[in-house]
Amino acid sequence: MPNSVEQNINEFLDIEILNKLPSLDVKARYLVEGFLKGLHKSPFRGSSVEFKEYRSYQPGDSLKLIDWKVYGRTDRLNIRLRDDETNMNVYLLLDSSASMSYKGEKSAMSKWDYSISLAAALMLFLMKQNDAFTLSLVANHLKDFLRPSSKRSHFNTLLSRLCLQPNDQNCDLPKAISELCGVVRRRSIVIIISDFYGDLKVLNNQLKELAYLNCEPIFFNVMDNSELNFDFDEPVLLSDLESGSKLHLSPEVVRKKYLENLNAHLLELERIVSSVGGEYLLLNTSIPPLKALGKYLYVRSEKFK
Amino acid sequence: MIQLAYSIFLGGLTLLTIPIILHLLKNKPSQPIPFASLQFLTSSIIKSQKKNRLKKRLVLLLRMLTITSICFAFAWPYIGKFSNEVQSAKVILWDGSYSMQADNYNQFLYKSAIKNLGAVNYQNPAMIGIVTDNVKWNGSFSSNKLTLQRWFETNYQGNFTSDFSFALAQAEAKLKTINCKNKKIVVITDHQKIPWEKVNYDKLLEDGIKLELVTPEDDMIPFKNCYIEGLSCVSAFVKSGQDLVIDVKVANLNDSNNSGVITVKADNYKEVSQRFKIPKKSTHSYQVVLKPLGKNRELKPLSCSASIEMYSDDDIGVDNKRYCWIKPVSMGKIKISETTSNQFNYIKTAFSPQVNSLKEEKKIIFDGRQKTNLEKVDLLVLQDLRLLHSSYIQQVKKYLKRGGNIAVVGKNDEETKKFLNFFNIKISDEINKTTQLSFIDYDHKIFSPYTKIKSDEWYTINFFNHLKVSHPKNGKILAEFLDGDPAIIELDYYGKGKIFLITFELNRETTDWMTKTVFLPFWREFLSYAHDLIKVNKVAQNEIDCSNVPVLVSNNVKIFNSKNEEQKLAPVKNIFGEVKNNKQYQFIPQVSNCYYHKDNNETFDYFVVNPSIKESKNAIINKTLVKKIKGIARNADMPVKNSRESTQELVAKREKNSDKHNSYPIWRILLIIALAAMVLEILIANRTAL
Repeated sequence: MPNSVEQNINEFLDIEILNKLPSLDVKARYLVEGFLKGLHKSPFRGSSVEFKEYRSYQPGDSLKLIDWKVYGRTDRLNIRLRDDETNMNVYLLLDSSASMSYKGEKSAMSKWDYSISLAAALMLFLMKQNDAFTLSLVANHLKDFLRPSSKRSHFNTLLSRLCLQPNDQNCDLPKAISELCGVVRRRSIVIIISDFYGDLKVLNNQLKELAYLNCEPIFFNVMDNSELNFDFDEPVLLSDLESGSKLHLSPEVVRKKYLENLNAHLLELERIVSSVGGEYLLLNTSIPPLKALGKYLYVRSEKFK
Repeated sequence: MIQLAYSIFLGGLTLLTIPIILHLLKNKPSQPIPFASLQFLTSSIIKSQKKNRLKKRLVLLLRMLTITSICFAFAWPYIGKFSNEVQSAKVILWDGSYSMQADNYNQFLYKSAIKNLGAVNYQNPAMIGIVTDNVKWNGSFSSNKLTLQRWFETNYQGNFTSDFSFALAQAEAKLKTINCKNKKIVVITDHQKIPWEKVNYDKLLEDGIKLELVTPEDDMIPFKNCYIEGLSCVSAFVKSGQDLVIDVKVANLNDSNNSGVITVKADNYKEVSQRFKIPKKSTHSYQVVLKPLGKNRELKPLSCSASIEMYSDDDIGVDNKRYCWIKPVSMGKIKISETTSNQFNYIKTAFSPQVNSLKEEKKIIFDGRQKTNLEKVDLLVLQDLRLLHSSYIQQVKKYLKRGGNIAVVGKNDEETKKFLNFFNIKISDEINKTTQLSFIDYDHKIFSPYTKIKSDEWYTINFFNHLKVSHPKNGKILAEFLDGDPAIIELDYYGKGKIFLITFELNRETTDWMTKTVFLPFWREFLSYAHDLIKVNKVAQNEIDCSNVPVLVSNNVKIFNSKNEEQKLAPVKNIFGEVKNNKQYQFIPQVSNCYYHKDNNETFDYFVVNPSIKESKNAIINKTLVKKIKGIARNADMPVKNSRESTQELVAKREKNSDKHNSYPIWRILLIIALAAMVLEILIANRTAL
């Protein structure tokens, strides 16, 4: 999404306001409406059969797609492309580990609040497009999996799941993906919202399995500003939210090494996602998650080319 | 062996607690802060934590090292003998005469003075005096160059004639009060109207005191003048209503003849103006006779002040005024022993005309039963030795050995004979025959004034009874009877003290001298002579009496002697008795002692009046050297010529001594260590982390 558009969208959204909105439903609407206002022109193409463009026939194209009338007039084999003929199946996986409840001192929202707002906004967005969607929380395994649907009642059911606070100690994302592979439809979009702590090698293997199913993964990596910059000043005693272990350290001394490790991790994650044809987006909780919506639109449009 | 000069600064080591407390406080926070994951920390922290712990300890050590080094540097450690004593002292004499304001050289000399004052430090203190007819001192030796320069800037301009002979004597006396090896007098003058050849360096400069003369080049001096070279009182003794004759010496430095007017003013005398003519490049004396103001004035044998002004016709009006003290009679201090109670004490009356003045009586009379301090006595008159306590004789002899003067009034008794026998004077007989004087030694200082006032009265005195004595060969007869017997004998006692023997008693049965007018002047002249002898003796020992040299202080300063007794301060007055400045006071030390200032309960600055003889060896500068000084290059050090060692040897010796006394500068090394530790600490320490 171009920067100017993003800036335009940001004018309609404020993370502070988003945080103060009373319910998740309203938060989702706030995000989606803000996103649409910023775009000026609606990106929805809907499910109606609508001509988009012609392109020349390529070997391997279905013969059904050839516009014979054009052939009759011009002796050329052209294919008539149409918008969004079929609904997309979108699987949302939301990390519910304890680390997602982290909220930096200077941040307005915790990673969890931010993530569920994003997830709700996405679901609303998907529902408006008549895309079938479902959402599962990820802990040690895939929790309460439901089949994708584009109905309003389905949306409400999923929304009610997000009203809980994350209390799971660990998140086994590879296992969850593995479980998802057993139920996922081919050519689906899998959106994973997480902080992606953990071993990336195992995750890489599972992603390959997902790619085999012709599913496209979108990784929304939600991180707090404190995590990204490690902006502590005084010597601190840090306690791990997941394991509970504590560590004395001097931030100035370890900051450099920490950031090196973090960046290496993020780069590796991005590389893994890219290697399976997926999309990766790093989201800072201090900035509204509009890019995420834009990213989905981009992936969806690419999918129908 | 390393020692500490100011160990009190080690108290600063208590500051070491600050980095230790900081270290302990910063070391471990107690409240845990939740964090999303320590995944990226655990691997790096294990490696850096050990390194960080070492760094923390290193920083703590560096901080402690910095504080310790600074404390020890201030404590001033040294190896061997520490010397913080004064290395050299300097007295700067600035010519305060009006001619010093001449544009041609004023700046040159001023800068020279400022440069000299700029070189002052705690090991090389200085004093500055503005020389006019008197010397205005900055106080005492100071090592604060800014204070000295400020004082100099506000006081250096004067309008008077400068008198350097007195100033140099004072400067030397000031230098004697300070104990150091190198002593120097820097004279900054335009050399105008200073009869340099007549300044008696031989008596002024002692061995070791250097003289530095800063003068402008000859071509800088635009004028030459007439000046008052000196003045003296011709009348040795002035009676009530008698004229006062003053001899004024005027010198002409011009290449042409000159003339002008001399105006003399003196207390209690009428002002006199007298014209003079003087050939080129010469010196002439002019006698000025002053008439007393009142007719029936009492005899005042005290000094009075006078001012002499000279207006020469072909001259610029500068440096033409001089103030002086005229001392017709120098009284001195006398002690007279008691005589028999039934006789009138004529000598006492001669010195104390007001008979009712009991205080005066007490002051000059003694009987020997109590110990009397003879230190300051100029003349001791022993009239009746029978009345003296036997133990007192020994005290008198000691006094004589120290250079005292004794006048013995002859009496034919055993005590007197015994006393005189000790000095080889023997009383052989008593002659009961009326006689008169046949000879008086008018060349002697006691009798010489009588030649000017023409007194024949001496030869009309009747002596009814006198002693016949035989005296040693070195005895000098001052007066003789008609029959050839000595009337007054002066006898040297081992070249120091003097004994005067009067071979007759002073009562109505023996003589009628007391009824003559020459009686009273004789005793005063006698005392004056004795006083001068004492003075000469003192000068011979080079004990310049600086007990009367005023010390100028501000009004908030208190001065105490060594017994913590507060000394009286008097406002500074000019020659006319007017108070110059309410804020400035002077203290005139009367007794040799060690004094100190006290300001706002803080003791500082000692000064000593009349130092020991050891520091006061005679130095001799012959006059050829003085001439050389006149022509030398500016700022050149002039060594004392008759010194036993050559200048180079002296310099080499002093340098060697100074090396020996200088402590090795460990404090500098410590400061460098502190600085290095501080820089390292800044480089290593992480302000937030450590």
